[in-house]
Amino acid sequence: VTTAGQNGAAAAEELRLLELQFVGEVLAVFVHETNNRLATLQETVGLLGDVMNAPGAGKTTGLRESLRVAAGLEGQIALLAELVRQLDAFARRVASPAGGVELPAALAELLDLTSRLARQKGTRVERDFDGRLPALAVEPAAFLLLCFRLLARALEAPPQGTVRLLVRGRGPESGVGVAVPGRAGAVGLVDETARGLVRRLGGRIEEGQATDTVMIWFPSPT
Amino acid sequence: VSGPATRRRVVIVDDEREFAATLARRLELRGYEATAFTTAEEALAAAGSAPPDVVLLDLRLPGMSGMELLMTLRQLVPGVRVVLLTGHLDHEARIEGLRLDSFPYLMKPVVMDQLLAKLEAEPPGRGEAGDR
Repeated sequence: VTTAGQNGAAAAEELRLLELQFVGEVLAVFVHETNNRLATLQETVGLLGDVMNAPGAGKTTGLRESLRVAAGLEGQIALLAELVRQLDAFARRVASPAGGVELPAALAELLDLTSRLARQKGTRVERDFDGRLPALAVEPAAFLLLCFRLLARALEAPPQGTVRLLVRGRGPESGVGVAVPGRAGAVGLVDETARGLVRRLGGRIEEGQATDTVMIWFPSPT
Repeated sequence: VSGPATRRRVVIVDDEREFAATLARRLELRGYEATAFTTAEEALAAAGSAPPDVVLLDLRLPGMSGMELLMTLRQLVPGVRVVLLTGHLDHEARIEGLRLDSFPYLMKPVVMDQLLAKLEAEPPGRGEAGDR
């Protein structure tokens, strides 16, 4: 039995996910263009280095210094390219309306993105799972929004230590969770939006006053 | 900057004109005979008169797609080596219905050492099968 309030909440959630998918699609387009500019920039800086390194180019102090600068630029471009690659993968996953989630890749992207948020707040997010994780048959956009929401809430109040993103397997279920040291009961981590997302994804929430961890369990795909 | 033992003919097909031209120049400095094209049609016309040894191919091209060019080139120049250039292979390969292990590929921005290794690798059937 669903109430009018639940129907309204589900419609709002649907709209939020559509908006998220739209943002993912737009982001993916811009990221693609950014990557193309980076690729051109990399070749241009590389050519500059090639020309300065060519036989007969001479090796004045100024030239040697320029070569060092060019090498530094190439290094920065490579770092930026890696960030763009992660953002691209994230955007495409969010934009994907159907299909499942490859947990290792999705969570690695999420960790990378939230790590930057954590650094700005003077704390850290750490992974607590290994690489042999299952796929989940859930909507990517909703799943990532749920994980991001849990992590973002965990980072809102400065924790006493590192926030951990957990993945666990238990029987026929796979669980994703967040642990916040010193925050007994992980109070307030799961807000109404997160609860709606869990319902939508067919998961269940495990939270208790005696633990600093919230886990969301999903049936493993057969 | 050092070149290959024999002067290989490399064709770059990418609609990012400056990227393709700059990459061609860098390969020339390394002893390759490199030519850049921004459309599949231009590349195909040139391949008829001067068959390339290796084609560096962007899958996303205006007009004839990179995938169509790849298929046509393989008929026109049997044994030609094709290396895909892509910003996001999973996505682009899915659009083109391409199996990821079918072709060597490089992600953009390109790492020169990796590119040179691909250019000098033996073509599939001569010791290499679908490398990455």
